[in-house]
Amino acid sequence: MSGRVPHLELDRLSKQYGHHTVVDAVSLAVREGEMVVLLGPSGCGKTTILRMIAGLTPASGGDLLLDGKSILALPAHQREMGIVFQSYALFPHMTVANNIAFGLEMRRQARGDIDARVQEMLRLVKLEPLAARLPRQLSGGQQQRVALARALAIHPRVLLLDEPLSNLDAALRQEVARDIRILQREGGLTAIMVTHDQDEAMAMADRLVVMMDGRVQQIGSQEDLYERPETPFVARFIGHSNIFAGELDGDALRLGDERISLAARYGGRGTVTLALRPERVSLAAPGKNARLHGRIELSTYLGSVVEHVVALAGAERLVVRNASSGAGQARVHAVGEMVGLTWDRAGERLFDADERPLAPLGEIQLEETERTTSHV
Amino acid sequence: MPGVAIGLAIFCFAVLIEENTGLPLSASIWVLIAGHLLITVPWVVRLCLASLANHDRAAEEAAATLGARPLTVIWRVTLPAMRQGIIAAALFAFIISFENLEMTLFLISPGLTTLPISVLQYLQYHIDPMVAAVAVAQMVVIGGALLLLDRFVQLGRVVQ
Repeated sequence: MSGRVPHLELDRLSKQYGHHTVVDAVSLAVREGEMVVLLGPSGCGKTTILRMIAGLTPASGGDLLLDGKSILALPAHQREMGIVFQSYALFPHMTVANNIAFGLEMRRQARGDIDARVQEMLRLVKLEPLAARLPRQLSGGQQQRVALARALAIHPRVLLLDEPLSNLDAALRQEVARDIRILQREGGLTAIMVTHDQDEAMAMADRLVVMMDGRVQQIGSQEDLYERPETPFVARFIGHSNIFAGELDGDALRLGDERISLAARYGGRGTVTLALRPERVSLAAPGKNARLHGRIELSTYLGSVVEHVVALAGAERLVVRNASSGAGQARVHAVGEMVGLTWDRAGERLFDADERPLAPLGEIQLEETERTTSHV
Repeated sequence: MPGVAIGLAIFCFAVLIEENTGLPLSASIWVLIAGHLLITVPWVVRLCLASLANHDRAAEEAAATLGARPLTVIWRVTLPAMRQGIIAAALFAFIISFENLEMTLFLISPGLTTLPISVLQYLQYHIDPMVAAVAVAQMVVIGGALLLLDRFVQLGRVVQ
C-alpha cells in the first residue's frame, strides 16, 4: 500500500479568521502507517490543522488529499477520520459499549457484526468488564480508552489525536502514550497527533512537525530536531536550548560586554543567535580553557542530572544540565561560585539574522582543552 | 399586573386584526393557545439552555466524525443531552399555563374557558363544596407536577 503517493497530503493548507491567519500554507505528506506529531505552543494552529483534516473546520485555502484524491469538499461525516478529543467527548447518556458501537450503527452494519466489533475493541483497550457502565462512572484513563476504542472501531482512514494525554495524571501519561503507540504500530494505522508537550511528542512520533504562529518551523525525526534545529525557536522548544542574540565577531560572539568564544568558526558577520544545549555545556575551572564565565546562581540535584543556573556578567542566564553519574559526573556547586563553561561544536548552533542556521567552517580548539568538568 | 396587561394587549390586538381582516380571532382558541405559549416559552428556553450549559460540543463533533449526519447528531446526541432540561421545561410550562388566570381572563369566550376561570365563575353564583373539591384536585395535579419537577431538577444537578 505504501506506494509513491502519500496517504494523506496537506498542500498549502491555510486558515484565516478575518485578517488573522491561524494556519499559513502548511504542506505535509504523511505516509501510510506513520505517526506524525504536530508540536507547538498553544495557539500555533496545530489543533486547527487537525480539525481541518477531520472536516470540523472549513479550510480557507490549499488542498487536502487522501490517497491522491481531494477530500476538502467532503463533510465530516463522510471523511471516515477517527478523532480522539482532548475532552474525550464521550456521549454521556450512552454506555461504554454503545459509545463504541455508535460509529458502526451510523454505517448501518448488522447487529451481530456491531456486537462482535465492540467486543473486539473492548478487548483491545482492556475494558471488557466495564461495557455496561456510563462514561461518568469511569476514571479519566478509562474514558480515554473508550474514546480511543470508539475512534478505532470504524477502521478510520486516519486516526487523529488532539492532546490525548493532557487530561491524564503524570503517572498514567507515559503508560497510555506507550499503549497508543503500540496500538497504532500493530494496527498499521496512519495517525496525526497534536500536542504542546515535547517529551510526549518525542516519545510518540515517527516524525515531528514543529509549528509556531501557524507556520511550520521544521519537519523531521526526533534526531533532526534535536541535533539540527533549523530555527532558534526549534532549538529552544526542543530540549530547551539557551538562546543568546549577539554580534558575531571573528571567533566569538559579542553579547554586550560579554565575549563568548565559539567552538567552531563561521562565515558571516552581524547579528546572530546562539543556541546552547544545556546537556552539552560542561562546567570547568575558570581560566583560559573556558569559553565563558559565570557565577552559579542555583545548583539542583534532580536525580539523573544536576542542573546549574549560571548568571553571566550581563543580565543573561544559562542553564546547564549534566549527568549525575558515569564519567565526569556532576556535583552540586555552591551558590556564588565562579565557574567556567565549555562545550564542543555539537553543543552550539548559530543562526543568522534571518533565523537560518549557519554551517560551521571548522573547529576551534581551546588552548588546553580539558574535557573533564566536575573536578572543578 | 403584567398578566392583565398582556391579556388586554393580546385581546385588543386580536380585535384590531379581526376588524381589519374579518378573521374571527377575538374568541378563537388559537389566540388562547398563542397567549399561553407567549408566557411559557421564556421558561422553556431558559431551562433548555441551562441544560446545555455543561454540554460538550465536542461530543457532537465526535458523532459527526463517526459518520452521523447533522440531523442524526441532534437526535442522538444533542437532544438526549437536553433530556432533563426538556422534561423540567415541559412540567414548568404546564404549571404556568394551568394556573394562569389574569391573562386568560381576556382570552376566553362562551364555550372556551380554563379550569381556574370556570372555578371563579362558578363561585360568583354558587357556594357549595364543589369548588373545594376542584381546588383539591387542582392542587393534587400541580403538586404532582412540582414533585416530578423537583425530582428531575435534582437529578439534573447530580448528573452534572
